[in-house]
Amino acid sequence: MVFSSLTFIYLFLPGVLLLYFCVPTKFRNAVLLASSLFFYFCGEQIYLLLMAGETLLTYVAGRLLEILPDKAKKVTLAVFLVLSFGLLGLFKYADLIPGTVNGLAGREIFTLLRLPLPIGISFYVFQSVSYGIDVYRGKYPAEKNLLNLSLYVSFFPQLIAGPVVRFETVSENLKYRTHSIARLSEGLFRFTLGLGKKVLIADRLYAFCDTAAAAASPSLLLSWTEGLAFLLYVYFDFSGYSDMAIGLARCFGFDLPENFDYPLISTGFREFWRRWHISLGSWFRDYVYIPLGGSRKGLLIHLRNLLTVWVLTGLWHGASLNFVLWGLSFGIMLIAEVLLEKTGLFKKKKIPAVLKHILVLTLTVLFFVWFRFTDLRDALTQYGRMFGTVPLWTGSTAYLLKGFWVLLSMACLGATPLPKILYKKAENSAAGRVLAPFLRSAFIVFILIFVTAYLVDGSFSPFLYFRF
Amino acid sequence: MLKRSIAALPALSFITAVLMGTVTLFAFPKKNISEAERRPLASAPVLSCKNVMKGDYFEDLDLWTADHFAGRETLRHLRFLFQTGILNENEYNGFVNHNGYIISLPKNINSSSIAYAAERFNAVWERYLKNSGSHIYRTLVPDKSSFAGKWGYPTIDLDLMDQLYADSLPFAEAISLRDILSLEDYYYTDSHWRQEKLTPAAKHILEAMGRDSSLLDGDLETDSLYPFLGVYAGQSAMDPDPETIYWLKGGYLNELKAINLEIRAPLKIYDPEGCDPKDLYTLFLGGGLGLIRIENPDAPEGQLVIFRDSYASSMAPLLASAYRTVYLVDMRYAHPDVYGRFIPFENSDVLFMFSETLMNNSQGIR
Repeated sequence: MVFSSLTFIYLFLPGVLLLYFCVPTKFRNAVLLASSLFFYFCGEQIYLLLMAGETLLTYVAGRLLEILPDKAKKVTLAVFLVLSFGLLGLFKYADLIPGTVNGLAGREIFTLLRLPLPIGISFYVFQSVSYGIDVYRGKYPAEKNLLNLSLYVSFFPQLIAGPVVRFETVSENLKYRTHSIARLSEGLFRFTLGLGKKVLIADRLYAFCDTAAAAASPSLLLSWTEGLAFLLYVYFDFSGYSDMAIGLARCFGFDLPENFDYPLISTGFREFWRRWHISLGSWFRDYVYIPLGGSRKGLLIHLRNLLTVWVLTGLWHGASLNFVLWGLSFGIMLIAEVLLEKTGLFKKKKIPAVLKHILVLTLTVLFFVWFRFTDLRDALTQYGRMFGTVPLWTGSTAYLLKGFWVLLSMACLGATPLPKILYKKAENSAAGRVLAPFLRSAFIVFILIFVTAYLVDGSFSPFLYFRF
Repeated sequence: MLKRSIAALPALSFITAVLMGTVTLFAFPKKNISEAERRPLASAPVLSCKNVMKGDYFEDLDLWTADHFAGRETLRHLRFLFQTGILNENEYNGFVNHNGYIISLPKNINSSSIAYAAERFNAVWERYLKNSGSHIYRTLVPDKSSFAGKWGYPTIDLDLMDQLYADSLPFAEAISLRDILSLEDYYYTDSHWRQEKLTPAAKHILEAMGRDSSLLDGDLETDSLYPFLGVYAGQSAMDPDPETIYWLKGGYLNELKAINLEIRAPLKIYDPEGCDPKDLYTLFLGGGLGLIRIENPDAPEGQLVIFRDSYASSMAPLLASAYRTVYLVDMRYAHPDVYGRFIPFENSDVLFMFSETLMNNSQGIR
């Protein structure tokens, strides 16, 4: 089940909200856990046991890591990490090397396991691992209530596509949380905003990319527009999902961390990754980059650490070579940024921000070509088109740009903070303070009607980040 | 208190809107078919252990919810308005509206479909035509989309389509209709062509087959029926105005006699009263029938066999002007095994007349 489905919006969500607010407070976590398990079961029947196993493993590991002596703790943590990452490795990466070799050879040298990827496994394994490591480090005590820990691992708003939540972020909320009509309004507004971003913008951007890719006469201009549209699609799809997750969690009294902060306005790659998929970036920073020494052990170690993190980030997104290349591309850019800063060439005042922004955006569009095509030949064909193997302009270009310029303009504008700034400004005015709830209500109804209109007409498409 | 109530407005709006959707989803009676889209709607999911454990139940529930949502047609039209009005997109579900003509734009040529059709045509040729002494012709009915290229709409490669059709019928002589027809020869809301505008095309085909087409110059008049909403009206969700469907009558057409060979029953050439009211184009020769014979007592000796799809239903009465007997074979409804029981193929003219749409979706050919 995905959030952008009629079944979720009109059957599951009202049912859970009704049940949640009708039962006494002490049963609310149980209601949320049961709802989360049912939500997961709708999409993954047998693999529900896998998630339950990982949760139990995390619980036992947490308790042991708290009570065992130091030496035994290390062994316990190692076993826990091997088992957790082993699970991820088996289901996500078992076919990576044989598949790549087969692909490069053009024939099946190795037989592939072809295990279906359990939905959300990358998210719940990373959450479990962060919990285990933090308990080992003594950052917080192990959770003694299995129900609470299970809810942390399987909380349906963020279970299948993040954000990657740390236990410390929600541990208080698991025990005590406040509910108010204002928070409910805020949460439902945020959910609706994300729903609109996903269904009315991201899915249409994807339709543009699809149509452009199949255009009878591709052109250089169309290929670059397609590249930009794909980047915008990923942004709206994933940030839309994060908005929905944050909004839903708020309805139930939880405060999830922000996952996106207008990454497409960045003027550098480090800034980009501080703004894009923030929860994953901070996970890799805290559990890989810093333990490896970060930037404190000399330039070479620093560069090695950057490369390691970015190869792993690429691999996290998918078990194929294109994602590794995608991660490597960003890793190399981050290394280049570090080196340029050391030479003083990339310092703030030397290059105008607008030029840096254009450079970062252009390269990001290029790197996301790797992200889009699992088959490297398709990616190379697209790069060829972007660098002139096709005419500058064709009839297909005119037709498609005429049909999608409004959407593309809206998406470009919507990827900047401008709409939010304008809205906040209007909301803070005297009239705005009075009208804001009415405007929000109208916005909610408008978006719900048009989202429903798209969903009844078969525009259903799963979230991109499902496959991670 | 007032402030608190106002703060609750967004939540109340959301909950009210969602609950209205939920309640109406279950409260409204359910239909089995969508008349607008002309397709069966999803049936209710079956709750069983097997279905639930395989996940089929939840997938079926998604489909059922989408198909039976209250006000579905209005919502589809709203989507059309949003997509073309606010987002200013050219297409909606692959449809465009050009000066009132609703056109479905195919994205590509389905070569495997054409290969399958070729294989079926070849089987018929080997079995019935190879040694029959017949003259064999082929004509491809252009889709409305094939005229759209000149206005900038993306179209399939028409030369390639013609070539693939030619390759699928290597034993047949070509008769091209591309230069004879125009978009105005088709209905606004339907995929089909208009019979009253087909006389030049019919004469072109007859002359290419060496037949006398003079009966078509006789006193023919038109009759009509209103309102007519074609297949694209509902599929496109554009909510167009109804139009009028026309047919030719008078002259030799009044003398034509048709028979449904499969049940050996007389058949009306035009049946505006008895046709499917949801698809008025079925008024031509009863719509989808496998084997039909038309007799024209006013025509010279000669027999024509048309292997065809629905476009021929309106064309065949015009081609019958030059033949005493015309057989129509719809390969989607009649199995090749039975052709020989009803049709003497010897020394006939044989015309393969299929639309681009069918060639691109030929799975139904038997």
